[in-house]
Amino acid sequence: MNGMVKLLLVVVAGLAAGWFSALHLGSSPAFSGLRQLGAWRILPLTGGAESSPYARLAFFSRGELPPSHFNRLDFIATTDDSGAPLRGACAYRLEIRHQPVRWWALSVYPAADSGVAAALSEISSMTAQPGARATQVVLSALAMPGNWLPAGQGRLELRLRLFGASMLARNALLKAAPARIIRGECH
Amino acid sequence: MSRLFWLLVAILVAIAAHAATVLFLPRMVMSARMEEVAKAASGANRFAILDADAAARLAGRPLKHMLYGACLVEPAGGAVEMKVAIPAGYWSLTVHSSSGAIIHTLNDRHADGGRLNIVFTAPRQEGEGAILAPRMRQGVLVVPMQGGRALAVLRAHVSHPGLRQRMRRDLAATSCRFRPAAPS
Repeated sequence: MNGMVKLLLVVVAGLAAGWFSALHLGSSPAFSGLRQLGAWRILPLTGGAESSPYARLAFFSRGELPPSHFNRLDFIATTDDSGAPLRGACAYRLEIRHQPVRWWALSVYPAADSGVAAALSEISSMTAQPGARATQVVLSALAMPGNWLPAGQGRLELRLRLFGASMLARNALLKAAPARIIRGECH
Repeated sequence: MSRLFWLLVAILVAIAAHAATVLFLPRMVMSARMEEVAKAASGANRFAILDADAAARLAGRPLKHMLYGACLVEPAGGAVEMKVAIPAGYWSLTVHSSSGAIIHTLNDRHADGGRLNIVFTAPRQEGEGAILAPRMRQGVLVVPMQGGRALAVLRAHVSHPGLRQRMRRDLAATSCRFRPAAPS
């Protein structure tokens, strides 16, 4: 094989390997501090002295600004509790544990690896029942009574954002899944 | 021997590409975000409340229950003074460096009611050996910058859709202004 062609192939292979390995480490617990809590994952090391460049890279590669975990914890789910991808064709029941935070917001977005996206729908702690131990939310395409989060078509991504947790609460919040996602009927 | 040589070349290129991705991708995204904010605010050192599209371009996946404002801070040759009209309820201010690192962050637990004054200082203003940590000086939060540019992003919680216009009006009193260094 011609030397130049060989060099080109090796350089392209090296570039691809370098690029993908950097992005891959953004989802590696050892490098990015990623935590998987049930169906939810979180990258808490985006700011502060312990921040990881791979955690920040994971946000930037999706075109997002990394949040300061001091202000906000972002939990992301693209599957239900059984591990099946979230789909607009199914209904899901979510049980959001009561969180020791100022407020929370649950948003649903079209699932995509990158690019900006407006929320298809959103619900916040303003709609939570006072005194309840958990807030029940139904994610479905069809309107439902109670806290209904309208779903879109295709694969979905859920984001649960918790705002204003104290440092003590933050450590506890990073140890357990913030909500259960139970699949109901699909059509 | 030849195979080993090409394998080594591939590994070296991969290491370089890996390091470049980790170092430069955040800078490229931040640079684009900074330009977006400068465009929305008609320049650097000006504060703008962002509409839904601009908020999506800035934050990636914005919240509907949030109002976003931002200022591209460029204190070269002086300082930038930001006077935040503190909204009622939850708010946060996050300052990102041009590399994407979070330089400083505040929320409504730190300041309440009225106005919050922040001064971003250029690195050389601090003097050699100065501690580059944010500090309070005569009621003003001084944030020393290590680089030439930073992005200050203000987020305010809109607890009810009916409050959005009023909050927008109140937040519009926030200013971001360049202050030239005093002549020595």
